Amino acid sequence: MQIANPIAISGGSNEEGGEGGEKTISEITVTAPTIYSAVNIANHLNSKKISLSHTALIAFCDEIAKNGVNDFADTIARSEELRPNTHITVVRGSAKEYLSEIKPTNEVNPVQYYKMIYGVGYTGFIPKNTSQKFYISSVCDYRDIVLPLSALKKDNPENSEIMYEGFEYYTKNYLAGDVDAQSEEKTQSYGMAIMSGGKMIAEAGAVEAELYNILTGQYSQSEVTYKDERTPDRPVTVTQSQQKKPKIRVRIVNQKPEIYIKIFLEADLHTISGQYLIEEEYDNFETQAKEEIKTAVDKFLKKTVSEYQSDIIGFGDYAKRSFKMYDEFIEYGWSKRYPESEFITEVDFHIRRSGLVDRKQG
Amino acid sequence: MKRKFTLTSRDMSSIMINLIAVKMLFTYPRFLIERCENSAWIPILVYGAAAFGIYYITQWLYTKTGRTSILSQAEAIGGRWLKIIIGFILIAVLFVDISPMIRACPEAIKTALLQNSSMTLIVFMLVIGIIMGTYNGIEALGKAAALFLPVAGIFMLGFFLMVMPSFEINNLFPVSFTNSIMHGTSALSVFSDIIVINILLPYCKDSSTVKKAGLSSIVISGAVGVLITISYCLVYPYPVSARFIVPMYQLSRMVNIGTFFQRLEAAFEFVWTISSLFYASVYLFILCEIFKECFDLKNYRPLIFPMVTILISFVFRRETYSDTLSDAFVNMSVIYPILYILPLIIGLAYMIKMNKNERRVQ
Repeated sequence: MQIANPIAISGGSNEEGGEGGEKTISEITVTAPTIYSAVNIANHLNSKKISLSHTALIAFCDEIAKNGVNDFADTIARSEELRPNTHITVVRGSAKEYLSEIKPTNEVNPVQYYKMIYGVGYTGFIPKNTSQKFYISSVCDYRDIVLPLSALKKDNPENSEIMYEGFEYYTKNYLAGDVDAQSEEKTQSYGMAIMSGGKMIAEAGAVEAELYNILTGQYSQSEVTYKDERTPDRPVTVTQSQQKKPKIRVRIVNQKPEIYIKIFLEADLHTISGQYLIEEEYDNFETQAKEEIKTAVDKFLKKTVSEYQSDIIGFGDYAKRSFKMYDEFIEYGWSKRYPESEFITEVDFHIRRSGLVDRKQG
Repeated sequence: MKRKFTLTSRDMSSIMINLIAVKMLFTYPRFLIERCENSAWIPILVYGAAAFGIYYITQWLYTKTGRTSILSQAEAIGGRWLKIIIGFILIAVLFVDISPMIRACPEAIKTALLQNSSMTLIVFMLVIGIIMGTYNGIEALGKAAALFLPVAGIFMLGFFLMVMPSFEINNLFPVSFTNSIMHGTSALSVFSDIIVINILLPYCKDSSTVKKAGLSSIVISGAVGVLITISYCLVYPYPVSARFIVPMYQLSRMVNIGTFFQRLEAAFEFVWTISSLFYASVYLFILCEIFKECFDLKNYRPLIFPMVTILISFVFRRETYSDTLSDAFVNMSVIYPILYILPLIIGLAYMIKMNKNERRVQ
């Protein structure tokens, strides 16, 4: 358990305020079968009663996640202390070591640190699912969930797959821990843990997490790099945002799901090659980008049916519309039928602004 | 007997809306969802209209024959003994009907707000509140309810606006009109408090007060019920929606503005507790009033303490709150028809007797 130290945060009687850094956090490690039995044991070690009312993050190590975490979901729903917007993460390796290495450098309050890392809308490389969705997916057996993946930075990071197909061009499909960044922060959150039936079944990289966010409508905005066929060595980076949630329709044709998805994205130009006037080629670039997004989305969706065999996007919610009763839907067996799905994808992508420069007039 | 104080249609409507709507704030939507899945808002609409029809006939019977209460009519039909029998039937039915609601208030306070306070203290404070409300009489309760209701209404409206970002239209599906109407007949039970108007008829200013109060209370509380149930179903898919004991409380946990404004459930608890106090006070007054009428006593106030003692003992007769909830489900299925049928039978019998007497005189 990691507990905020209010005296270090506020500075106590010190007029200069709190110091921040590692002193804002104290840690208690106990061995217990459940969260609340751990709290009970910890209460005997601490002079203050421990409350979970301000819990910002629950971290499971991947070993526990692979064995199943549905029991924890019930605790989350039953407890009046734990909030529905508490963040949950799966840690590659030891959750204790991950938490021990958390050293918030830009935040005084560690709770705020977790909210910024796991909850902000300007990053796309981790999913934004919270405890509420975690519980819902544990009860509804037609819906699976993904959780953000976190890890300690490895000394020798594994080589991550580089994207050459257009969407997030030249960007590495990072998994947490493998990001070759030089930073004071020793912890990383990239990618997602794929859960099915309450158990972690696979890991997916940062770019896939971004596609997941786009498909579920949780995506807000991020900087995305595209390949431009005219300057393949110089990628185009745009500030991409999702102003409208995807349009999804699910039909059951001959007992097989047929899923139609239309994605709406828009972007502002940020970094482009100075070699040619992209402003005169907006339409071409938009068409290219649409194709690149469609290719990436199709590949990701194919992976959900063939490799994960798990409806992590939540198409089952749309499939329910084709049934008169919930029992009929359960009888249909969505989870088993999902791998037979066929997808029709469409992308709506528009460049809206070109930053502070417009070279169209020369 | 001419009364010094009378209830205006606004006072009476406020009392009635409070009595009916407080059930919607409690476990009632969940009870319907268990039967009708996430189409539970449909039976509230349909059976709300049916309750209005039943009420229209009942009030016609009672206002046509001179605005006499159900007990006065029973006395006119079968003498004092029938009045006492009907009075005791009413007391018994009301005891069973209202006890889960009265139990819910301290249980919710204990679970969500005052976990460390003793239940005895919470119940004691509640009893003091109920006694004070009842001691001041129905007129004071009516005026206070008329003041409180607009405040609660504005709060609820703001609350629904804040919970709207969590709405997901797919959660309403599958929609089954036939199934929800077939299995949702117990939606009638929520409007059964309308019997209170029959008991409090002598307190009403005139016949139009009775009509207006019945009409507005069924329409407004029906609308509140639909709004609560549909909002809850829009946030939680079935079968998750059938699990939470207090849907409105669960919804209030979803509200947060940024990272600094959370835990609106405390404000919800405040509104709910006041509504519950009104509910319990009005019913305690009615129980005392029925007893007073049965034995032609002059004042109801000496009955408050013994009646509240019996009521609280009855309310806490079951050891666990889960047992009380099971009782509530039985009441909602079995007890409520008596509250509709009894006034109809008595009213009809009274009318027949009056007509016979008129013919004899002629």
